[in-house]
Amino acid sequence: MCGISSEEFERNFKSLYKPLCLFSLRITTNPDDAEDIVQQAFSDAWTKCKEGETIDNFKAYMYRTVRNRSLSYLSQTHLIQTAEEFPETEDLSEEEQIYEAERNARLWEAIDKLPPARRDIFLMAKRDGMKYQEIADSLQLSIKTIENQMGKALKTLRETATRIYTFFFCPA
Amino acid sequence: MINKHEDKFEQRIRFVAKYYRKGAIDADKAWTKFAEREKVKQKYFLFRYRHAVAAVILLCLTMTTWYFMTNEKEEWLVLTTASGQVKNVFLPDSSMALMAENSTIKYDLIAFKKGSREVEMKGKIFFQVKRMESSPFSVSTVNTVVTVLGTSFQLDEKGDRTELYVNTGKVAFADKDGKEELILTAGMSAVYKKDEASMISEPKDNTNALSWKTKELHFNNTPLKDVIGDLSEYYHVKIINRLENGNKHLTASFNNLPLDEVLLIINQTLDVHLVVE
Repeated sequence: MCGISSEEFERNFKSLYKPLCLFSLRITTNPDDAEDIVQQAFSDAWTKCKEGETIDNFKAYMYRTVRNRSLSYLSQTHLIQTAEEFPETEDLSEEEQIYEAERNARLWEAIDKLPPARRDIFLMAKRDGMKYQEIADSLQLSIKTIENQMGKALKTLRETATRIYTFFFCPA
Repeated sequence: MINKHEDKFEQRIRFVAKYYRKGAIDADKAWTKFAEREKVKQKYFLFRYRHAVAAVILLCLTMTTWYFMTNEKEEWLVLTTASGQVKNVFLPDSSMALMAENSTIKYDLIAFKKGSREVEMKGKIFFQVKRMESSPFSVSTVNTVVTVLGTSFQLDEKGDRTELYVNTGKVAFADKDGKEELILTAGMSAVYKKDEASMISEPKDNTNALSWKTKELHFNNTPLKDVIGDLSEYYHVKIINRLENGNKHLTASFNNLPLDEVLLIINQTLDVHLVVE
């Protein structure tokens, strides 16, 4: 069983799934396809496990697999022809890319946990690129409220990063 | 530097926000889907929460142990009569046991008070049982069990032979294995013989079954051999008839008379010669 039990596989799956998806998302720029690629990568790893193959460093293996598949997905769908169009992730080391994917996964999770109204305002600003005044107008709220909600949302998201830093520097 | 850091953060936020969709990229949902497709054996609930299960079991065991240690103590009570002693005993449910000499009664006081009316006995005891429909009263001897709801009866246990006489009400008389069972009503008697493993309802005259208690012997046209039997039983001696004219009947009452007086009266009345062997 590639050296791991099915519970261990489940643990790996649950901890790696989101970062891997965000890792793939950098390349594929499509959440559904990213999820499919990651699911497929896990399926193949699972099959290998069942066939008794050993996978050393499961995490690194999964990132490599997802990366290769995401790139081949791109060439298959002909969405990219030129090297210039590759995302800027290319100038990050593999390790840095993994780290970034993990932090993005935490951001995704933090957005998930925002109160719905605050999340809507946040998405209008950052996803749709709306100005605070435009959001205030469309939701018929005061600009103060929007600023307030955005401040709180950004604080929460920033804390997801801080928490990790504190964890790293003060293991106690 | 700070600007660059902020810039990076802003970029990441914009990137994640751009693709964010509520409920997408959910690791738990994805795992469920994966496990279904790949037929990953999901461990049973009990196994997944085995630590909690173990804790609960441990707690149960502790409580059970504690319960038994504090509540389930037994408290056996044994009462015995000496030779020539007759003793009247009241049980916790106010049932009465009249013990003949050389008899023993034994019961668990705690269980008895909780409603399990079970006693063990040896020798000869007359029971007057308080009626309780909800908890039957049972008496065990070495070989037999008598179960009643509320009656009076007498058990005479003589090793291999157990005699039961029902004074009032209705009782169930069974051997220990539960193979044989008789239902007896007032006035009936039965005997269990161990060597034959048999249980027989005896139609014999029981007038004097309780005479050890009443001190009265009554005979009503009773055959002489039964008279001799009752006298032997009552006075604890072996009586024989020196004359071979045993085919006679006696009608008489004796109220706590000495044996020699009784023998004298019978010998004169029936023209027989009864002596103590």
